[in-house]
Amino acid sequence: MKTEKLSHRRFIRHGVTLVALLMFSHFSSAECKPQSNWFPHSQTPEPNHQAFASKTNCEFHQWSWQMFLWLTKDVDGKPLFLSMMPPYELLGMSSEGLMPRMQKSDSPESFEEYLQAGTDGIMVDQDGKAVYYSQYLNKDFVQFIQENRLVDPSVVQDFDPDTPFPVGAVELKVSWKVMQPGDYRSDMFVMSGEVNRLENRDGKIVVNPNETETVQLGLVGFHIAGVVKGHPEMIWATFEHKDNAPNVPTPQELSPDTLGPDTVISEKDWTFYKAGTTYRNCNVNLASTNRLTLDEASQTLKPVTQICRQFEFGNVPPDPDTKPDPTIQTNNDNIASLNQGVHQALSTDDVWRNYFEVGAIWFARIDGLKPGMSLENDEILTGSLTLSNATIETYTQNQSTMNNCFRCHNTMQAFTKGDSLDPLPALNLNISHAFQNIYFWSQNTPSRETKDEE
Amino acid sequence: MSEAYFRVHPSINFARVGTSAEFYIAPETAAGKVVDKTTGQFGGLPIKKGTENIPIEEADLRDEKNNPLRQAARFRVFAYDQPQQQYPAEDHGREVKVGDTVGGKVIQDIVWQVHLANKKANNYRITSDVDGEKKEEGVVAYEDGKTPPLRNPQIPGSASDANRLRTLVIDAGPRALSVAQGNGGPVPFNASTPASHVNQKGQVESISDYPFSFPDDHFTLYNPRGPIDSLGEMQLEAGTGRLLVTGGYGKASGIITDGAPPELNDAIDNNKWFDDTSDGPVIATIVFNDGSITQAVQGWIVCTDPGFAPQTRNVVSCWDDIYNTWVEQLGLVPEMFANGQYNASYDAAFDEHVQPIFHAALLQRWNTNLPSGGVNGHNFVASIQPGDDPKKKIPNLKSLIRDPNKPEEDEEGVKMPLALGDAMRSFLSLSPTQYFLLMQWYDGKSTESAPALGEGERLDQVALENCLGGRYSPGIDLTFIVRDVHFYEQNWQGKTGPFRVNMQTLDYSKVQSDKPFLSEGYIPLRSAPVEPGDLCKFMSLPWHTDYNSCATHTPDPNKPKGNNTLYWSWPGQRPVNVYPASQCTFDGDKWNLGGQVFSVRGNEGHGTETGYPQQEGRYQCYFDFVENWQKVGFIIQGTQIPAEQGGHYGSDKFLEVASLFETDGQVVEPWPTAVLPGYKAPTDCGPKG
Repeated sequence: MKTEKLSHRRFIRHGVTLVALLMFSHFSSAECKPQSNWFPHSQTPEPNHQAFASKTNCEFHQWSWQMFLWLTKDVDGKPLFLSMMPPYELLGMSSEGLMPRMQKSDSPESFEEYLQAGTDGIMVDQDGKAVYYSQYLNKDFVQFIQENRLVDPSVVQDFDPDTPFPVGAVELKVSWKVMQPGDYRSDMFVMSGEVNRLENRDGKIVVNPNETETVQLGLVGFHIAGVVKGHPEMIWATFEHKDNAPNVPTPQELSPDTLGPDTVISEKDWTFYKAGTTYRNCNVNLASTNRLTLDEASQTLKPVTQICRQFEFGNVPPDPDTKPDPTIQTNNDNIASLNQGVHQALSTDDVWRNYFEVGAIWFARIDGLKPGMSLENDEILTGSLTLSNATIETYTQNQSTMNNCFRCHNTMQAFTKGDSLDPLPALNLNISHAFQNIYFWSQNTPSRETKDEE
Repeated sequence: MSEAYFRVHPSINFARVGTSAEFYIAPETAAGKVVDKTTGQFGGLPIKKGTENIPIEEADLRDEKNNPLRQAARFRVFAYDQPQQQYPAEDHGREVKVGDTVGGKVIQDIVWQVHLANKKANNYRITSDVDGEKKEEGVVAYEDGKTPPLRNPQIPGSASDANRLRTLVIDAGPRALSVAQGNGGPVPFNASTPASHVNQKGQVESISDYPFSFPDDHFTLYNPRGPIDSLGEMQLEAGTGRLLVTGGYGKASGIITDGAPPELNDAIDNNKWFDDTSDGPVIATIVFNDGSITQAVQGWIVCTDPGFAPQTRNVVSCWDDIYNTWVEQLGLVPEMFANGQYNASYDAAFDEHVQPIFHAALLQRWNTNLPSGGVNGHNFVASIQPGDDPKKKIPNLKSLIRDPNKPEEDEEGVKMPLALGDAMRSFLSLSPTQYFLLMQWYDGKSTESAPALGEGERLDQVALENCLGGRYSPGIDLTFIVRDVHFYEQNWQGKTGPFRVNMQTLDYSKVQSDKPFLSEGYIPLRSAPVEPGDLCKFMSLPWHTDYNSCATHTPDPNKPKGNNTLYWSWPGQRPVNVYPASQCTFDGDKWNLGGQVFSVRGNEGHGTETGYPQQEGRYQCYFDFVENWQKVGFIIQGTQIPAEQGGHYGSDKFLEVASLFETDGQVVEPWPTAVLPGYKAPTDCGPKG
């Protein structure tokens, strides 16, 4: 029986806090503003992906924000994105609940993002709970997969490597904090949902795919990736809740000191950060150690992950001694301006005004996607070049080999564990990890079904 | 009688330092090659002393006082009936011992002679000054008559200066042992044991006035691990008459100046320091019952760093570099490479040319912090079998593997191998020969197995396969000199065979007690033959600093723009992150893997912990490693680690055992990690005066 999931909602709308207003008030730009037809939020139209002109940096961020508003607008009592299809449903598979990002069981039944190197590791909130993730595909994405029979691995292996996703295809990833009883917040989207329980198995902390529990989930991070005209690589935008984590101070803010292991990142508490935590204790990934422990009964983990956002707006702040890169400055100003403009335009009881765009990244060239691109450097990238969502790519914000979406979302061939699954050839479609997962899951499906029948 | 040809094998073999007087024997199987398909046992394990080939276990790594054992190099004499015309030799030869008959004559005696020396302090620096910057150019630094600057410039003169030779070269002289005389040793390479050699009659003859040279003879030394008064011992293996050579004890000593020991602050070139590593020729003289004698083609002993991860194969081994040099420059396999190009129709052998690369990738996880994605990918390629369709298994091999023939790929930090390069190349590449053979397999031009080698040639290869290649900065066992044809005896066809050091014949009748016996010796790209001490002199002085330093680094010197990621220097040979057996858990059925710790994680002195990722996994002060290196644990296969439950830890794991560090150290995070600028080394590192 298919488990109902994410079917309950809880919108809690109260006034926006002063903190949020202050947070979005700097680096504003007069140039990049929200468009009037985005509002009211209940009527935000889907961006016209086909009409995308690729003329200004602002246009990309406007698309990002419009997408966020469109995806979160209330449709039949819940945000639009919750009616979209999770990737595994394309294969007719059911999910028992949300999965934390972590090293999961080696068993074939686990849903897993393949080759997400560097993102091993469970993110543990201040309450000792794992942060959970969910993925969604829009109808254009789903239709493309279905029409091309890309749930059949043999079809994928013979698929034209140059064919990209169609304009309008969108995939999403959302991160969720498990709310504690009595911890309901007026400024965060919270709903009821089912999550997989964790257990200690084979010396690891793993997901139990067969046991779930219903919890209250607060939305803390939101990835949007979508194809617009001229950008088959997708625009990759990410949003976070305003109280997630402090930004690592810029060199200007630290001057005359410099960032070091003992730099205190913030003197106040954040959702995922304890006041006074030093830089050396931020974003520490315990995946390789035996230091992370799970109490199965309470489903709590130790120690807590202290999260710091490495780069505000997803760009390395300029060195005080060098002239800022005007392109980056414009990018950052545009984001700040849009954040401020949208927040001002949303009604004060709209919970989504407590979220902000961290940044967005895309190709600097039109229709530049090719199979076999490693995208290991920023040569053809633009926008927020070191973009991470602090709740999703917590542990790889700073390392040049994984410090933006395209480092991992590239079009290289892909491998997976074991010797039973065929690798994925280098395709333009590989830019989507949802697609990659579908490809590997589709090879795993028979064994999963067999197991389920046993 | 028909003429017979005698050769010592391995052509080059490796002893390793330890602090115990005891020893085990250098491995005679290759890391990364499965030696027992039933148990899944991989090669590379050293051999228990007194046995033919029983691999060591956990209990064999340290003595009763917890000192790590030294590794002895074992040499044998082989006889061949045919002169060698090709490689591999058609005549597989056979090991011979006293009493065996060869060509109608009985071998009456085999007299072994070894001469050990250490010329590090009189050699050139590893780093050249290029445009005001210190660069590691490798053999390029010796082009056009140039050399890097000399070490120890405070002692005037060139590397040929008599005073420098007399005071800076550690020369323990030759020793000889006769199998027939029954005195199997050990004979120490120290100043109190007379030098000896084999004379023209095939007899052991003492050299009464040999000009031994040890550092304390010439300087007032700071000896934190005791004086360097010996470079090891040689002895005969009981029952076989094979030669066993053990080296030094991992000592490092510094010249006291103005009452204070010298600073130890460079990763590679430290003036006023000595260590007790060494190298030298291994000569076997065969004496027949008719009184005739013949000298076998010599081997060479190198005593170097400990092998803390003997079973982890380097993706590029020293063998791969040497084989590449011989294929491309010395006509070793003309059907593969001739007239400056590879033969596009040449068949690679899966078991010899392909699988070892994939197995090396498989094994890297046990010494590094590879994330699960990398481990999965490596496991996948290691599962490829000879019957598999290469293109089905790896859709695009060229996008996965760095092409050594394309300089533009030197700076691609995502291609494999994911480790650092040398000689001004940022990243490691397969050798051109390795790459060619891998691509031949990929293009469907391969066989399942390579032709079998004779046992002697197999030993030659195995000894080098177990050593570091690819990144000679300067390295661990041998260095960039293996890419220089002048280093070898090039006229290999006929009597000699390949892979032999171009040995300087040493005439001990000319020994003078008041004159250094050894000269400057071999210089890369020059024709001077190779003397004792000429191999290890290109290594770090002392070795400890380079070992400590070479955990992870950013790409150097040509760092790709914006790249702040840390990559491994010597992931196969210098473990950075390890899985202690003590952290594994038994679940009633099997042992489960525990967590990772840094291999070098002590808290002695200034300790190893740091907030700067680029400094992790090493002592913050070099001297603290000099004092504590013996505490580093060993990584061996789970089958060699007995356990009360399950019998052992399983062949699927390679775990750290026998570490003496009393702390788990700081957290190991999965790769990638990145540099945090602003690190300042401690200013009060030892040694203290």
